Parts: sequence; C-alpha cells; structure tokens
Amino acid sequence: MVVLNYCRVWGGRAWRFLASSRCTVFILLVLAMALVFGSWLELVQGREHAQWHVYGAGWFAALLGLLGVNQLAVWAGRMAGRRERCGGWPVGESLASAGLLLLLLGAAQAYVWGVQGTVSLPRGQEKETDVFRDPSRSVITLVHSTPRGKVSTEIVAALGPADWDAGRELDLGASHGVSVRMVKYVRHAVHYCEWVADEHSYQGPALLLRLQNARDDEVATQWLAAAPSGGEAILGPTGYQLWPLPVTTMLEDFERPPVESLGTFGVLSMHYQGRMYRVPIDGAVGTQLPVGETGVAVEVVHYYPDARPSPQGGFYSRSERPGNPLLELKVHLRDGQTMTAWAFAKRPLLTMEGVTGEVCPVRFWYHHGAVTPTPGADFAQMPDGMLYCRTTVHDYRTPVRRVQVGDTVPLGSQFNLRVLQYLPHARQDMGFRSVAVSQGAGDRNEAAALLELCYDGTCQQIWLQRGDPEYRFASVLTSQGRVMLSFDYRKLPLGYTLRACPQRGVLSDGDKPATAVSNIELVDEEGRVLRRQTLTASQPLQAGLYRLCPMTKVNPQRSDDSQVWAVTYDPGRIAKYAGCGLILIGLSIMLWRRVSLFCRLAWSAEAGEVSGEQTDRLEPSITQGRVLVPSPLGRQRARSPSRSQTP
Amino acid sequence: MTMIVRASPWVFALRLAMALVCVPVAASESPDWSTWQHLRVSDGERIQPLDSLARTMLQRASLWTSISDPGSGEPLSATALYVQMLLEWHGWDDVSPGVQHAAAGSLHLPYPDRWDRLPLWRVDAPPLRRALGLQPDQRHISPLEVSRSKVQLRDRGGDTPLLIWAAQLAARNQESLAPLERQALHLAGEFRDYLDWRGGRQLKCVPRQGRSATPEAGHEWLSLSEVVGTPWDSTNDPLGLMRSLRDRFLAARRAYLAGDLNQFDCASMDLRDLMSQAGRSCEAYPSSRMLSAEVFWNQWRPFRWAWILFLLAAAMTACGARKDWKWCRRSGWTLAVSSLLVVLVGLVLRSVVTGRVLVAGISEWGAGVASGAVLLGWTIALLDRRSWIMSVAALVAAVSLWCADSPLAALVLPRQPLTPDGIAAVSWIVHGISLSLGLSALALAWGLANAALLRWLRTDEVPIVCQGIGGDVARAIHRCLTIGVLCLVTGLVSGAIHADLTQGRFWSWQPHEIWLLLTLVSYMGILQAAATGRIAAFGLAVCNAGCFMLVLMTWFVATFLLGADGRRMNLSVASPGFVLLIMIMQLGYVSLSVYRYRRVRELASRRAPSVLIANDTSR
Repeated sequence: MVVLNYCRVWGGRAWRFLASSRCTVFILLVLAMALVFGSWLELVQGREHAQWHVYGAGWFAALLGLLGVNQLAVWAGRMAGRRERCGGWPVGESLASAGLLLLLLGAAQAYVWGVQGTVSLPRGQEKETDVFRDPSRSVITLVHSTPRGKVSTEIVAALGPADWDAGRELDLGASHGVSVRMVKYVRHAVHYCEWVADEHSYQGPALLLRLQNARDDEVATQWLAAAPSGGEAILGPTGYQLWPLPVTTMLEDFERPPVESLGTFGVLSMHYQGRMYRVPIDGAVGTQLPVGETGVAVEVVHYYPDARPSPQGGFYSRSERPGNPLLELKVHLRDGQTMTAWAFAKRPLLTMEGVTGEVCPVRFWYHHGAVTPTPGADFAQMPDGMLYCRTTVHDYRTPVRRVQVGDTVPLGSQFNLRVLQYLPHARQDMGFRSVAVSQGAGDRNEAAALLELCYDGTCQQIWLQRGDPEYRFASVLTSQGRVMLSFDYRKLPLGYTLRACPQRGVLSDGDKPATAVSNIELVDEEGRVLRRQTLTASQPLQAGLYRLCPMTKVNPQRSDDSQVWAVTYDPGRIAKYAGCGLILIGLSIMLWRRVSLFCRLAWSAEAGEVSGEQTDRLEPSITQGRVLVPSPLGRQRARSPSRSQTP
Repeated sequence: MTMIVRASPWVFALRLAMALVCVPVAASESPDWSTWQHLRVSDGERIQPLDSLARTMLQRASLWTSISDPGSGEPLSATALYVQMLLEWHGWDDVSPGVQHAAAGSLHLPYPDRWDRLPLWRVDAPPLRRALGLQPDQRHISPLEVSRSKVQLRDRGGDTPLLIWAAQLAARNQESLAPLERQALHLAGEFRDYLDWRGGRQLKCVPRQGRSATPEAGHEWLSLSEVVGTPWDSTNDPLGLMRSLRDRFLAARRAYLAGDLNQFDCASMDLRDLMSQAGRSCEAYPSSRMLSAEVFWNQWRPFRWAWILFLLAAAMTACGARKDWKWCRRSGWTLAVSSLLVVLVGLVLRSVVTGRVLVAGISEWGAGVASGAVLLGWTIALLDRRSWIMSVAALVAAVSLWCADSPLAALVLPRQPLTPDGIAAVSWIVHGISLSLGLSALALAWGLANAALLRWLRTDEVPIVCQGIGGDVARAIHRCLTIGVLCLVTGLVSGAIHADLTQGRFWSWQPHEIWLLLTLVSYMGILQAAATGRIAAFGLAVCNAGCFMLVLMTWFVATFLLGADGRRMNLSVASPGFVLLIMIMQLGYVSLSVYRYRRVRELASRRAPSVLIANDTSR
C-alpha cells in the first residue's frame, strides 16, 4: 500500500513535470544542444558521422519521442484545466500541440518503416533494373557449393561511419563448416600495393627511386623491384633496371662489359667457381668451349638472332635481324652430366631453370652489339646486398659506383635520380588502407572489409571492397568446395522493372532554367510497359510504394556517368503534412491573439486610457513581501524584492 | 534663410540625380570598351555579355569590382582589364595551330608582361599565406608570383615550386587532400585559368556552326583561341564567317597595339557584328535589348545606389525625428521610397536578364530582405507614428543591400533555379518569399533592438527613459518577431514540402534546416518568455540582438561551412573570419549594454528605490 502510494505520489509528480512547459523548455534545450553537437560533428567528421551518432541514433529518436509525450501531456493538462476552469478553449496552443504530435508521429513512422535508397542506371544507354540500393545497410554474401547445390547466406549489417578499432571483430556466422569473421573494417578505403621488407629473405630486391631536377624538385617517384631475372621501370623518358646478381664475378660484366670486341654474334661470359671466362661467339656455334681448366665445357648449340618461343617448347628465330639474340647452350659437367641452358642478351639473368627444373652451376652473361643501352640507370645488387649503379647518358655509360640510400645519381640534362629506399628482399603488400575523405566528396572511396574465412582448421584473410566492380567479389577454393564471397549494399526490390531510355534533348536555353530530366519506363514482370514518363525534379515518379526523384543534373558534357534516382518510401507523409498545417494554423492563431493583446495593452498604457481590470494588471502591486510586475500580456509574475524594495 | 532651408533637400536630390544619370565620359585617348562589353559569350551555363563575365571573374579572383591600370594608375573596368590582357597576349603573334596547342599545355610565363605582374588573386587563407611566405600586409598575389612561388613542405628537403606541387596533388586522390593542399591546388587552378583566359581558350564566343548550340553545352561553343587558331577553309567554313572573325580580331589587335584608336573601334564593331551574325543560328542567343539591359544593370549597379540612398534616408529621418525638422523627415521618406523603387526595379531587371528567381543568390536575398524590412518598417512606423522606426528600417535595408552589392556575393555560386511546375514550384515560391519576409522581419527587429540598446547605453535615467523607449521598442520588436516567426515557420514547412516533392525527403537534418530550426525555436522562446512576463522591453532587445546571431550563423553554416548544392564559398579566397568578427562584436555590444543597464539601474535604485519599483517594467 505504501509502495502504491509512493508510486502514485512520484508518478503524479513526474506527470506534472512532464505536462509542464518547464519540461518542454528542458527538452527543447537538450534538443538544441544535440543539434549543435550534430552540426559540429558534421563539420569535423562528416555527414555520415552526424547521421550515425546523432540524427539516426536511438537516443535522438527517444528525445523526439519524449517531446511528443510532453506535448501530449501538455495538451491533456490543458484540456483538463479547461474543464476545471470552464474557461475558453486555447485553440491556438491546442492546434499547435496537435500538429507537433502529428509531425512527430509521421517522423516516427518514417523512422521505423521508411526506406531511403538510390537506383542508378548508366546515362545514355538502354538499361534496366528491378532493385534499388539501400545505402544504410551492407550485405555480405557467402555462396557455398555443397553436394546438394549452392547455398547462399546473406548477412545484413550496419557497419558504421568510422574505421573499426584494432581488435574489434564481427562474427558473421558459419555455414556448412565454413565460418566467416570480419576482422577489419575501413570506412573510406583506398587500394594500395607497395613493397615492404620480406622477412623470409627469399624475394628479390626493391628500390624506391625519385627523379628530380637540378633544384631537387620531384618529377616522379616510383618503385623498382626485381625478380631473380631482374626488373625494370620507366620514369618519364628514362628507363631503369635492377639486377640481383647471383654471383660476385658478374660485377665485372656489369662494370666493364666488352664493348670493343663484340663481333657479329657477341661475347659470352661464363661464371663458374668464383671466376669469369669470356669467349667470343663468332665461329663458336656448334663447338664446345672449355670453362677454363675446370673440366666443364659449354657447347654453343644454336644462335637465334631474333628469338621467339615456339609452340613446341623451344625457340625459333623470326628473322636474321638481331632483334632478340639468344644462345642455346649445353653444359657438360665433369661427371658427364649435361644440362641445357639459354643465354639471353637482353635479359642476362634470365634462366629457364623454372621450366627445366635443373639448376645450372655455370652462370652466363651474353653480351651482344644489338643490345644498346637505354638512357637511365642500371642497378646491380650483389649477393651480399651491396648496390652498384651505372648510368647511361647520351649513349655513353658512366663508371659504376656504389650507391646507398640517400645517394643522388646524375642522369644528365639537369636530372638526378635519388635512391629513397632500398629493400634487399622485398615483397608486395596489397590491401586497403583508410583514407581521409573531404566533405561532400561522395562515396568514391568505398568501405573495405578484411574477412577471415576459416575451414578445416585453416584460416584465410581476404580483402573486399563494398560495391567495387573489381574487389567486391572473391573466390576461395576450400576443401569443402569453392566459396564465393561478396560485399555490397543491401538491394531491395522495386516491385517492377525500371528501364532508362537514352536522353532526348533535355537542355534548357538561356531564359529557361535547367532541370534534371530523365526518360524512364516502368515494365512489369511480363515485359509490358506500365508507364512511360519523363522524370524532372519537379515531377518525380510515384509508382507502387516508392517515389523516384532524379538526384543529379543532366550534364551533356559527361555522357559516361550514371543517372541516379533517390528512391523513398515515407509512410508518415500524410501525418507530416497534416501536422505542418495544424502547426501553421495554431501558431497563427496563438501569435495573433498575443500580438493583439500586447498592442492593446501597450497602447492603453501609453495613452493613459487604462481603467478597471487593465489598470490593476499594469500597475505593479506588492503583496506579502513580493513584487508583482505586469508582463506585456498582463500575466503577473512574482519577484522577490531586493533589500531596497521593502515597502 | 527659410527658403534656403526648404530648398536644400531638393538641391541635394537634384545633384544626386545628376550624379546618377551622368556617366563619366571616357577620355578621348582611351579605347571605347563598350563594344566589347556587349559581346555575347557563354560561361557554360548561360549566354551573357562579356561585361558580366569579366566582372564575375574579377570579383571572384580579387574581391574587386574594378582595378587600376598598372601603368597609368587609371581605374579600369573589368572588361577593359580583360580585353587588354587578351589583346596584349604574346601568343597571338603566331596563330598557327601547333603554337596555339603548345601554348595550351604550357604552365609558364616565358615573357611576363605588366598584367602578369598585376596582383590579381586575393589570398586570405592563413595556411596558404604562410606556405607562400606572404607579408602580413600583402593581400593579393600576381600570376608571376604564383608561377615563381615555392612552398616549404615538411616531408621534403627543400622548397618545391607551387605549380609542380599542385600538378602532383592533382594526380592524387582529391578526397584525401589536406586543406592547405586544396587551397594550393585551387590557386594553381586559378593560374591555369588565367593562362587560358589570356590565351582566349576559355572565352567561348561563337556558337559552332551547323549544330544546336546551347549555353550549357560549352563544347558546342568555339573559343576565341579556336576561332583564331583553326586553319579554316571552304570545307569547314563555307561561309567564310570564321575567317572574317579571325581577321577582324587580329586587325583589332594590331590597331590596339599600334595605338590607332579609330581603327581599333572600327575593327571592334565589325567583330561584334560578325559575332552576332554567327550567333543567329543559336536559338538561345539573347537579343541586343536584353544584352544592353544586363550591361546597363552592371554599370548602373542599382543595389549600390539603393544602399547609399537608404543610408541617406536613414540619416535624414533620424535627424528629422531628433530635431523635429519636418522637411528633413519628408526628404528621408522620399529618399526611402526612391531607394525601394530602385531596389525593386533592379531586382526585376536582374531576374529578367539572368533568369534567376528571388532566392537564387546572395544578391537576390539581400535585395529581398531589404525590400521586406523597409516595407515592414514603414507599416510599423505608420501604425505607431514613430519615424525613428523608419530610420532603423532604412539602415537595416542599407546593410542588407551592401551585402548584396559586395564582391563577396559573387563568390557564392547561385542556386540553379527550377522550372515553375505544379505544387513543387508553388511551395518553392512560398518558401522563398516567406523566408525573405521572415528574415526581413528578424533583421528589422535586430535593428530596432540595437537602436534601443544604444539609447539605453547613452542614458543615465533608467526608469523613466527606459519605460518610454520600452513601450515603443517592445511593441515594434514584438510585432517584427511575430511576423518573422510566422514567416520562418511557413518557410520551413514549405521548404520541407518542396524537398519532399522534388527529392523525396521531407526532413533530412541538413545543416541549413537544423540551424533554421534552432533559430526558430530560439525566437519562439523569446516570444514565449515575453508572453509569460519573464522578459520585458530590455530583455526583449537583448535576446533579440543575441538571437539574430543565429540567423547569421544559419547563413554562415549553410554558405561557408557545410553548404548544400555546391554553394560553399571558396575559403582560400575569402576567410570567413569577418562573420565571426561581426558575431563577436555584436555579443560584446550586448554584454556592454547589459552591464551598463544593470549598473545604471543599481545606481538609480540607491537614489530612489520607490521610483524604480513603480516604473520598472522595462527589464
């Protein structure tokens, strides 16, 4: 009983506070602060953050709901007061309260059941679609091949406007022995592919080079990475090569290549057991060349002046012109074993060991007069990791010098090359990283997620980018079969097919303003055209549940972009319209009454025509130690008198 | 003496009219630029006279409406500036296509002339100023300085030329650029545009023959560079029009460089006629009358005259009210009526020639607010028989029109108008009119509040004087607030309905919606407080003066910080600091008034407490 009384008392107090204008003011103040905070958030972090943290948040909806309850209570209190006092009905206030209630009701309907999405079709082409995109939700689809067919699992989630902190994960569940977790989420992602140090030390080297002018102004910066057969890069008009030399003696070939005595067929350098042996090829084709006194011999089987791979697996010469000189060699080892090897003049380090499966102990560097140096720089990495460089300036090679990180190599013509970074063993790191997006830049840097796919105790991580034509799909071969993953926005059915027709003349002239115009057709399931309409900004299309409004202005100078429509469903539209109307009417009445009263009182006071009841209301009266001061509307408000105001 | 006193306003008015009508006659030794002012050009959106385009370009770049000749120091109009730049460009010396093509790709100034040394671009953004090493008193920078500027970057060893840095930034992801990088990129873009404008590559002056040329289709218009640099023959120019155009332009240039003004004028007129002839195939080509109207508007600048007249009207009505000079008061009213007529004529003319509606840009907003404030002020002044209200209204209108006339207005891109069609158009018109009227009412209330605070600031006799002013002020402010709030609600509702009808969203918490809502709630709070007696005359004035900062904030947020529809102002050119300065000054002024009022009241209460209590209705 006591508890009941307690509840009744406190309930009554709470209700009275809820029904008071003080509560309204309090809620409005909180709302105003929330709006200012949202605006600040939008300025600092973008619209998506403001929408997520403030305008679309549950607490904000609750605040609006509280305002609605407050208005309801105020209205109920006003009605009760009217019955008690038997006074006049406060029409203005009641209508405004009812209008606000209706407006909030409509907003609540839209919040719960409303849909806002977009549909886009390429402009200038005849394309169609029957779904639209809901940008507030993401979908991760897992298609799993099972003996009974393909099973598709869709996980819908709102992933938020910001990058996930480290350690935050989302378990997306398991399907047929394959479980998926999202271990990283980047809201605005940019694809990267860069070189990092290879901790296992079995990949080739990489250099970060900067081409700069005489004033050290950067012209271009680029990575130069090398496989075992070397690598090359082009920076503007200059070319760069990087050769990871497998043996130390090859530095001699790099430093002092035979230029004078190349002959017609060139010179072959043979590197074996820490020594180099050079032999001219002129007249040596078909003969065995001894590799010093080691007992090893190299037979020059064939010379291909313009080598091309043949379909049968070997090489053939396309012409007699030395376009791609190649030597086919047979290495006779001391134990009688023979091995086939090839020496490419253009690719000195290229071997066919990966094809033949045999590792030849003799290394070759084939020099040929047809291979002319290109302007730029060549780098050679020694087996111990030291880096050497030679440059080619105006068809002349400069002496080889050792280079380190930070060194600058002159290239002639007032250009220099600077070594910014050197990785003796580098591997390519690919993925997505977060990028700061400026305000109003749209969603060109879509979100990316790192998904971890686990099956049979094995886990594999895959990056996917939302909605990207290249990176939204991934296919993983597992022991359970092939698993397809995709990351996209949620798609909802329109209920019909929307077909965009190529644009007609939609431009405006100088006197008439321009509008966004699109021609579309609505087609049902059987292919019948239900409606054909030109969609303008002032005449959107209402079909089925949804309303379609063009979002972008037609730009005839860009015919390759898409026409985007906003697709909306607002179940609270009628309530909102009615609420707005009631608010307008109620406010008008309220303010009109106040203005007329205010003016009447002010005029009366000024002209000294106050009499009777009005005189009492305008003259301040002092009762029981409190000064009652008349307000412009005649209501009296009590004020505590100051010390000097004692009657 | 009485006659002199009576005649003086009419003499003043006559002299003012003469000053308005008399256009300064060009000196005989300077070329006649009026022919060039009337050339029809396309900026990609609409066809307009070269005069409008040159003015807009100059205002957006430098915030100037005219500039001094670097050689003679004489004032130059925007058209004169641009045409001289165009004619003195060295690239016209060789008009072969190869040379023109090479010039199009160049980012250097190999032969800098006097125009390249002209400080043309205003740089206000502090990071960019620091990066460029500008002196504190240097507000503008010349193209030559830009081409030679170097910036010190943290991640690089030495100085990097601005243009090279900008070229690297342009290749980067634009969304990931820092504010300084965006500002630098913008300045480099301005430099590139400068080269293009000087080389005539952006001056789209002739519709391409044989195709439907529209103002939006910029590629359908030939630039002057194309006209001059294309090898025309009978196959691509069967009528020989383009060849004639090229010859006339080059003849005009030769005459200009030779100083033969007569020949230059003749060649200029021939060029204009030939361009008109070439433009006849274009349906949207504006008539000569329309073109003249726009040039007239540009030269006349009605909003400038209107704010000057309104300022005079405010001074005269205030003086008349204070001294009780009837002639002064009447002259003030006459000036105010004339100014309003000037505003309305200017507004209509502008809407006709530009095709923009009432609330398309800052100029239109300013004129609308000024008109509304004056009309409302008149109404209240006549109802209350208080001419000082008229004085305040004229002052508010002058401030509003000054904003509309200032070069800052050119920085904010005007909103694309809509085709009047159905309920959406009605809601848009209602939205525009009601918001203009609402802002007018709030601006007038703000002016009245500040005037009242000034009176309170200057008086020592709080109770009696305050009550006297309080009666007038409270009534006038309350009326303005009521009208303002009603109009704001109407504007907000009609805007929401318009957004729902055209974009499918009734309310989407856009920054301008939010701040308008905050403003509305604040003003409703003031009205409610006044109605419940929590504030009276002084409180009404103080709250009103403070709350108007929310109106300013709404405009500031929607235009500068989080502008919708691409209407955001370019912050590298103009810093938004002046808005903050105005707000700080206003809040300081209000604080000072409150302090003064409290102090005077305290002193007065010590002297005669009973009197204070009896008359203290003006809190």
